[in-house]
Amino acid sequence: MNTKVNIKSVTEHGFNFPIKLFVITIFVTLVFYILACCIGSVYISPITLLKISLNQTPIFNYDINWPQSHETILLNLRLPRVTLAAIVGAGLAFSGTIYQGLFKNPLADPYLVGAAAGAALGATIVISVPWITQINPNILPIAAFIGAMTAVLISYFIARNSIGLNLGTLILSGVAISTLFGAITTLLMIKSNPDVRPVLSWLMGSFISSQWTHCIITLCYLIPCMIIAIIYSRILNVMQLHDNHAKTLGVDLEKVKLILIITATLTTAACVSFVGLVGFVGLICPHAIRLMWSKDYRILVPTAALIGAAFLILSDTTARTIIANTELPIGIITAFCGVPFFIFLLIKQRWRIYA
Amino acid sequence: MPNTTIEMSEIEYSFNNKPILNKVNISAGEGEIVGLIGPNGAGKTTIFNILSGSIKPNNGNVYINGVNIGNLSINQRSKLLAVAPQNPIFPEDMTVFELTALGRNPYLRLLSWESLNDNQLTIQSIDKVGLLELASKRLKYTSGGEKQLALIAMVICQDTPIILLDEPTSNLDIKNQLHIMDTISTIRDTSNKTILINLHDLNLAAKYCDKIIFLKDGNVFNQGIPNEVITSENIRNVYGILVNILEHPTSLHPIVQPISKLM
Repeated sequence: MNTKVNIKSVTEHGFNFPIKLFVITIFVTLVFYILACCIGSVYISPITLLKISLNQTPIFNYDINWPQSHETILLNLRLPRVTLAAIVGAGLAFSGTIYQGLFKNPLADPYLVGAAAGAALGATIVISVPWITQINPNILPIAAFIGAMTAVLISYFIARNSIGLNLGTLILSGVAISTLFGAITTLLMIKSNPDVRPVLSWLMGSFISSQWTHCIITLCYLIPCMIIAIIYSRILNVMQLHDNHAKTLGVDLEKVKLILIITATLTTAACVSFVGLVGFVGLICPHAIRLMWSKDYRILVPTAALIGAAFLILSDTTARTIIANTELPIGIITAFCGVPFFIFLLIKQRWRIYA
Repeated sequence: MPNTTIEMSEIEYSFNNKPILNKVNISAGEGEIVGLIGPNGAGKTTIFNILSGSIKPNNGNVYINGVNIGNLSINQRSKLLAVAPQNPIFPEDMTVFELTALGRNPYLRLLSWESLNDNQLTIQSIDKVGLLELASKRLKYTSGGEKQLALIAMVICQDTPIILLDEPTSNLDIKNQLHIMDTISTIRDTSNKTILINLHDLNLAAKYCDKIIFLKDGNVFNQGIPNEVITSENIRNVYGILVNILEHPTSLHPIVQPISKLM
């Protein structure tokens, strides 16, 4: 028949891996990363930055023509901080993408099914009960992690029935559990500790106490979860159809749902446990990609992670530099930077629809 | 008599102790368009759900080309049966091409992208339903009829010997109804697929189906060629209405003219 038409149409419509998009996002993230390491109360030039970093490897040996304090600031404060911001941004953004795909709902974010309220409760318990912190000061992230996992597991088992997992019920049970945990958190804050500022600052998120060990622990969760998310990203496209419809297209739905919920929740819990509840990244980054480039989850998952990393590096750098000698909670910055950008994208899209 | 591709034997299904299907026996041959008709709640959709594997029968077996599909995995089943559900979600930001391409899912491994061959099949499927010009149009800008055609393209793209269509003409105007049914007819003629259709419109069923299965209260009331099944007596017994059966002047298939409800 009309083979010519067919071949032309295939090249026109067929899926192409957007290499250009990936190169751009990786480049942007790298630039943000380097700039964020340079900027701060002490300015370190990018060249010095590179030299200090390369001197850590046995291969290079540059002459030291910078103050020792620069090296300390860079290696022990700035690099781990910016790295952790990048990791957490990537993690929250791709778990947000997974939740949005799973629930077929663009308003879903990583905290939807109770992870935030659980982590907050865990952290509040640790902060407001003094003798727990006396045992081990590093217990807070563990408590936050356990809290997040507990909340999601409770919601999960409420929503599970004999046929499988009902995602609509999961959202509702997540809301119920979040409300309950939130109430307990408030109660603890009122009852046990007159000074609630540590809890509040944790709730808004902060990278101030970032360490290399935090980066490594978070990465241990993030890398396997990221790989799983990328493997299953095409299935997320199919899951935009009705559940039964997706099953007739060969998707083992119950297995995939379980895998993806575990993946997204583990990532979220690992991300929030050290730095607190950084809001808005998980909601906004997948959307930004969706509105600007593509709705295909195979593209969305990796690019949202990259953009999430860049966004959180930017927000954290702003949080520590915008007011001299003052650390702002990062949640304030993500809201101030993120919301206008998001509104801009929404308006841009609205004009495109009516054009 | 063509080879039998679908054989449902002694299918029983009940939900909350309420029987939905009682010992239903249905068969469909290769290259046949088989219409399932009957009142709401007669069990048409349940039969589809059992075939597509979303529910399991309490009793009885389903054989496709002699293989009992109860033992097949979801993926193996999806290479035998393609289903167009009645009220699917059309992800509004997908293009017609992207929706149709989802039909290739059973053949793709995790992590793999559609090959050139997959994309060619997708384009050919879109061409078969006549939507080639709209291939890159987003679903939110297409009409109801075009969406339904895209859904049928997706089902063709799945490249299965059997296609199940649940009410493909509901909510469509009369021209689109004919267009959809003509498209289905052409697919059958060119690819020899077995097509099972759930229909409410008795006249469409009579015009396009090779075989009609008339269901009533979870039982097969009658099955056979349209002229045998669509009779005023059968319709009175199943639906409780009085009708006149006319005969099409050239193709001789029955035409149903409703008169009134039974008092």
